[in-house]
Amino acid sequence: MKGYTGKLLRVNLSDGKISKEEISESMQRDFLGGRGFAVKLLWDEVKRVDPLSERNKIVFSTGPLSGQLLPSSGKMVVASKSPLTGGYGDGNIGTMASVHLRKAGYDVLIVEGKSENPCYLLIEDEKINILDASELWGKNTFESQDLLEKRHGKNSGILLIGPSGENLIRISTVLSQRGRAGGRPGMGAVMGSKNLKAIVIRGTGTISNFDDEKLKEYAKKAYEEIKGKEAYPFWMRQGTMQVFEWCNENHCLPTYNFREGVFEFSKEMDGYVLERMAVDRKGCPMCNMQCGHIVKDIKGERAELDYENVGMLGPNLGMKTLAEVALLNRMADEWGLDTISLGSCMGFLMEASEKGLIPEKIGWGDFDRAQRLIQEIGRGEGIGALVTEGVKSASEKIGKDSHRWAMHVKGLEISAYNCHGCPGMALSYGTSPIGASHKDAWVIAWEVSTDRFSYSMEKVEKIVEFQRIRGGFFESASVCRLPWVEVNFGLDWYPKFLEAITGHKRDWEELYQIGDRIYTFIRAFWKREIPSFGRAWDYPPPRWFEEAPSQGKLKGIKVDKEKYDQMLSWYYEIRGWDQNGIPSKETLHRLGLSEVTKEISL
Amino acid sequence: MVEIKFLGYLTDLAGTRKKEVFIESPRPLREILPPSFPEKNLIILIDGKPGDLETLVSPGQSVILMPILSGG
Repeated sequence: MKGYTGKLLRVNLSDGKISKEEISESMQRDFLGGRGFAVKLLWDEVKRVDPLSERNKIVFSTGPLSGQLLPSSGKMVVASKSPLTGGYGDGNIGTMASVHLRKAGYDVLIVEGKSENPCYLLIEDEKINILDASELWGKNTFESQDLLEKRHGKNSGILLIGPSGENLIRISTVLSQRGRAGGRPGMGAVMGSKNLKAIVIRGTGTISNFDDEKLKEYAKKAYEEIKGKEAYPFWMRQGTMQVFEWCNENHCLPTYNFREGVFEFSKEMDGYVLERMAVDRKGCPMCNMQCGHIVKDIKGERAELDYENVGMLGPNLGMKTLAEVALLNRMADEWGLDTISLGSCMGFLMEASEKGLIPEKIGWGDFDRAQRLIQEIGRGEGIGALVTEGVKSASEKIGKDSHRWAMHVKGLEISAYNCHGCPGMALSYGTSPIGASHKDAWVIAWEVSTDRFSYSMEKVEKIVEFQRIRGGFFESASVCRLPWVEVNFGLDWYPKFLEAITGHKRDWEELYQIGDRIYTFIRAFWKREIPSFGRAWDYPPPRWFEEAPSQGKLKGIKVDKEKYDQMLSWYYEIRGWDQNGIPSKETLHRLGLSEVTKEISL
Repeated sequence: MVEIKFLGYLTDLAGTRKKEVFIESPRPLREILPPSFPEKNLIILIDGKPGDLETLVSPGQSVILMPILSGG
């Protein structure tokens, strides 16, 4: 199909074998790209393996819109069987590697096996080399990026891991371009387990589209439309950091390990503080609404901030200034730790310390201790070793009811929205296909704009709609969703882009069905990999059901478990899954996934 | 007096983050907002409860206007 290179590059690090394979037209049609390709490949090739063994594989996958001259298209999905959750894991990273992979002639890169020694992969169009990385091993992601750029050119697409990924810390992610990250559910540890420090890509070709002239015309108008939006100038000043004030106002800021929803130091680290501190802005390739704001941290180093990082490393830990948070964020990026899971793990340890469940004294807002803690977590040493497999595992180790405030779903730490008073967002986390990620259905704004405390079918339908668009289309196309929601860029553009690229007209109904297929397929993957998987995995932590915040307007408010249960049942009905959350035979058949049936014992 | 708080890019449209408007009797919210304020993609809370541009606002109430965002 036009708009795809139609090629998958496979590299086996155990025997050095390199192959180039066709991606079938039916795969392009049924799974679109990105996350869709990733789940299909992982289903076919990764069955009941240890995620950190050489039998696991890691997929770097683009879609037909990736790397095109289109708004915010420099995106790529990084997916694998997750060492953090044991289920399907992926993340979305904005990187020049996306553009270069496509220009080099591949839609997908899949890496398998394990190198005997630290290595990195160099892809230059047809030429593929596995090179020695002993000089890079142990270096942080900024130093490694510098070194690789010096060797292979500043414009190269580079994906890499930090020391935490090398140390197989399961909350490690993949980084690019000094601060861009993707692959929250331990994708960095998967690379580390393969002794794969980095991937460098230099592509010189072009993508063959159905109608390049039409695409250019659309692109010009689309970029102009984005720049002309009323929300654009403010977005350029604060980016996602405007969410900080929004969340504090709506009492859903993660504060003191999600105990509270408002923060007494919020005015020290909101978007207006960022505006005063910002020295630079950074974005992904092809983006004209860059979201990365660079500030100088407390030591004068550059740190790229966005809302999730600040929410989880700021109020969630009781830090008092943005400059402190910036340093913690910079350290997380250097080590290659996912900032969301890291913030949750540190908050968990602070609360455990406060409750006397661990001997170490780690106080809320203790900035010096927090810095040392990041190093301990990155190395897997000291008290840091307790959380190297995430808060779910940590709570199982220390017991004493700590699972009630271990803030995760399916083993993936909850991102920066506290949901005591947002049952819809709680369900969105509960049903996100990788664990508690916000990227699939950020229903919280819609929820706050309606009756936020209600438990309605309408709310559940909205969650499914958002999952179809965000987790289905955007993750598979693969382009950034932010132009759509942040500045109101029209969704009706995307079928037009697809038609100009591929020559095939596809409306949103059809795209929704692709999203449904992907969600159901991911669900089946979890079931195959974890036989006990089912309904019990779709609940947020007891804290949201049992404890109400003590501060602010939501004092006394918590999620009603019975009513949550009802919404979860409705969710399964809409999805065509049984009441244990397992896709029915009929649903699998309807979505063209009959092959899956026998593997999950239906 | 009605206190109106603006969040996000709505501060650019209103030219301020917060303002107070003097009214003597209940009036539709639309009438006390700056002209050409957006009609869609708005979250409107009046004393913490969802409302719309036609909702009557009474003296002593507080209004928060927020954009629909997507988050990180």
